[in-house]
Amino acid sequence: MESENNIIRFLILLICLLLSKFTFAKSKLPILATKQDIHNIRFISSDGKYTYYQRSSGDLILSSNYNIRSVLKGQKLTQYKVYGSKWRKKIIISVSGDYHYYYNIRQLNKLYQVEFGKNEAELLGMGTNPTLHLNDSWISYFNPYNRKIHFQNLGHKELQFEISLANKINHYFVPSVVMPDNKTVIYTDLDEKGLPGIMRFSINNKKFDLILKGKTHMAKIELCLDNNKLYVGHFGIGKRNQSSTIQVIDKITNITMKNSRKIYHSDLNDIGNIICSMADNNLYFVKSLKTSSGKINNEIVSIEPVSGKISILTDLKYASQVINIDGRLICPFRGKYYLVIGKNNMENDKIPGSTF
Amino acid sequence: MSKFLLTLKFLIFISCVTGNNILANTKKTPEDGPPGILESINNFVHINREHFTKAMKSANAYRIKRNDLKEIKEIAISTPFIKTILFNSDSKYINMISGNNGLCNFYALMENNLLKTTNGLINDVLIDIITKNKIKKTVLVSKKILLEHIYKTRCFKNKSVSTIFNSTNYLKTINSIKFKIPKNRNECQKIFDEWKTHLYLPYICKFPESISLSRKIREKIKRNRNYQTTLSALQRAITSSGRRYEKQIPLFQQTYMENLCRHIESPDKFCNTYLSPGFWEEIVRGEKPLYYMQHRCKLLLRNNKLDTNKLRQCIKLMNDDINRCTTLGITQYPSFFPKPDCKTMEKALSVSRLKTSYQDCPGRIDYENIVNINRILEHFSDDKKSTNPSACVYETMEDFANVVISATNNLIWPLKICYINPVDNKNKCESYIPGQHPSSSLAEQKVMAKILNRIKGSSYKEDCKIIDKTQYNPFLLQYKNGCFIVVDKMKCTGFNCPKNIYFRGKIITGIKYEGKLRFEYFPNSYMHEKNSMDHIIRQKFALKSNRIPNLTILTNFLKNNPNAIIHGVGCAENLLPRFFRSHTLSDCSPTPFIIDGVFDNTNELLLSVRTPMDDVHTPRLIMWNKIFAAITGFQRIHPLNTWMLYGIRK
Repeated sequence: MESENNIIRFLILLICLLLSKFTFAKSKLPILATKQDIHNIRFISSDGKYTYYQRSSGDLILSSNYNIRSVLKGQKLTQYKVYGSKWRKKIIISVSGDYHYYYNIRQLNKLYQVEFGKNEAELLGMGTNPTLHLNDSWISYFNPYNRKIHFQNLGHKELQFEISLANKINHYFVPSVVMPDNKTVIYTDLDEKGLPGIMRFSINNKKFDLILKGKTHMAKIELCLDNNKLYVGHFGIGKRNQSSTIQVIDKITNITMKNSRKIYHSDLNDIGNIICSMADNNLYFVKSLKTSSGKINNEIVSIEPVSGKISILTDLKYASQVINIDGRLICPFRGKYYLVIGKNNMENDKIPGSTF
Repeated sequence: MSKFLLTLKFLIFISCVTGNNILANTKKTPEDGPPGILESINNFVHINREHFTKAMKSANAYRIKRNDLKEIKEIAISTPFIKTILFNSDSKYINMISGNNGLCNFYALMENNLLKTTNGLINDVLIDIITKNKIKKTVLVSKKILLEHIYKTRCFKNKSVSTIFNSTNYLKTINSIKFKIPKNRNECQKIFDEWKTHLYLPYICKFPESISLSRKIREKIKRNRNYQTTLSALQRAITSSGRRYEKQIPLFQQTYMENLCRHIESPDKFCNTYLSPGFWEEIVRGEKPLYYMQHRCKLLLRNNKLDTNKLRQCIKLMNDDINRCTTLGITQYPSFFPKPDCKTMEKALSVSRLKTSYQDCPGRIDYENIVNINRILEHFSDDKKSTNPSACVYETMEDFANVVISATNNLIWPLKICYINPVDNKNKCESYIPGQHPSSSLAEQKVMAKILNRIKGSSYKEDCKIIDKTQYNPFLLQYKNGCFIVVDKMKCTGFNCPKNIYFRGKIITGIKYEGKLRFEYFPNSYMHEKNSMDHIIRQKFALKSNRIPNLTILTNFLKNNPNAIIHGVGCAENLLPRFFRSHTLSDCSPTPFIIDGVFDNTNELLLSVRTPMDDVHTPRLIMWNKIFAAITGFQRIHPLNTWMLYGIRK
């Protein structure tokens, strides 16, 4: 009996080995093409003109027009993150000197601003999750320790203010923040029971009001602002009562949920991670899809906000993240970067007149 | 199925021993081809039935009486009779005819109508005899007479057991037997093994079989009164006695005997009746460590004293609302929120093996590598840790510090409080561990008190207290004396909190906190391999390390090493994509984690995983694909481009 079991196990192993080629089948999506190792690159413009990359020495370098310029110098193994926006006026750089020594998901990093395509960096402060707003005129970043969102005007440094979150229950919560105009901030928060909500902060009169309160703590809310429309994503987390919805508020001058309309609903918990700032005005996020065998796959999809039409854009089965790098939609997946929307525009760096 | 296999074995045995060619008796033409196995069995059964019927008919002419047995030298049960018993009796009773007591069990089973022939219940037995005159014959004898003879000449114990289970004494006997209820699996196995070899077993099984047969017959009679006329005398007797047993034997004994005899071949099925399934129940029964639910139940019930009833109450609360576990203890022991629900947690814990007899508070500790390392230390060490919300930060740091300080000379504990020594005016530094502890000499408040003793001449008995800025009020009397380390928590960056030291109401300058905790979890370079935390803990506990490159090796590693665990480092954005989002290229928050179990979820295998942000008692179930993506994501950024998933074992 035992020998029979061993034979059966061996046969199963043999079949699995033979079929293993098909388990990690190749995707049809192109891989983001770069002139150097993608894992050194921190930001690349859509036309390939500007590339911010880091060296093992700890320096951040800007490469453009056959020229390299130092942006920031750091100690060895410093890790940089570079953030852009659709307005292409500013670049934000986050610096973590102890990245490989000090694993802390809430770590406060030094934040710098740089003009798009330039290398002169200016220190802004310390925080996490920097976001550019309003034509790159404002920046917000978060301090998870004092639970404050810091806002700073990038043109006039004296213009700054802070919003304290009500959240005390989730030490790892990061709010979603948008600025529809220079008088208003919309952000997500958690109450004392962990229920997610959307708050509005009026900058001038420093008043808060509640736009939406969630019904369960087993859900997350995401905000995405584009072209004067506010998209609100509500994605379940728990096993019970799974659901995902995306609503849009067309009039950002009067943001209330009464003015919202539902553009998407699912009975599964999607991962979310909404991106709305693409040129085609579509919405992109990571959706959960049930297969015929009952398994749940995750793919990046797009939604046309007007028609509600959903298109599946990836074939990775286990996609979990989607990022917008200067207008190109990219899916980081198992150490590779798949180009979901956009082209691999690589500048022709042939020397004029060259025969090569 | 067992009857089929038994028949198959018997077929092969008979063919070999008797040399009979079964196929020779079948009328097959060459065009029919060779018969299949079922056809052979069918034929065999048919042939056996014919032989038996024939043998019974011919032996009927030679029916012997009680007195005739005196003239008999040898008795053996006739082969066709044995064959028919093997074919027609329940295999669980056939299997009792084995071992030292097999022969006597055979007669006991026959006595209690648990063996059957082609004709059903046994009244008469076909026996081969050799008389004193050396004449061999096959004769028929009544079961009663045969058993009387057998119990006089051999199987003497059967006689006394038969007496205590007869129609007069059975009730008294049953009431005197201790039918033990097991409290856990181990105990149940022992109880089962005892019953399996018990002399009483064939007599005990008579009762549930009689009750069952009696019910069936009475049911048939209800549907068709004429059926009664077809019953044999033995069937009528059993119907009557079965009804009597059902009325007189207490329900507990009835169900116990019924369960025992029905599952006499399967200890698991026998035990399952008394041992409810479910992981939480296993803990209550003592089969799994209590710490898996102890801390949770104390918080749920708001009661530090837990007995069996309270634990059951706790289980009910968790089953009634699975989301209860998602917020439990989040204030006292901050960790990732929301936690997995009770059902998911139960599944993950059912395959988990990480020793967690303590409670840590990851939300208060910034160094996720230290939280993870500490959990590994606790798993492999035998030290018992206390569980206290106020001391949980310090205790986590202390264990880690002790390992580091006792490691190689090159690696010195970096956190220091420095001051100018008034004796020689030189800068002097003292090692400290962040946090407050009443007795540890390296605790921050103790080290500060020692320094103040040297520079301000305070009493060595005077202790410092660590308090928040919002609490400290220099105008109050209680703050006029003594030492206070006042922390501005609003400006804290984890362990890097701006602090002011007050002594007797005055702020003290000249004392500085220096040093940073910078440790490599896995080595960042080959030169510093020996200084990495992974290497240090492996040295401390003499652990062996195995690289885990895929799910198959992971599963086998955990299966073959019951106390081993797996640890690795990967991107939080891939481990928990719902909670951590990537915004840019190489946006990866390195997070160590521990894998300590594999859960079979029908369609897929899920891994029991604890990230250092999770509560130590709340593992998550995560797919291998996410783990793989997390590790490969960080691998690409790591200076050595190393695959960081290793199993560790003693």
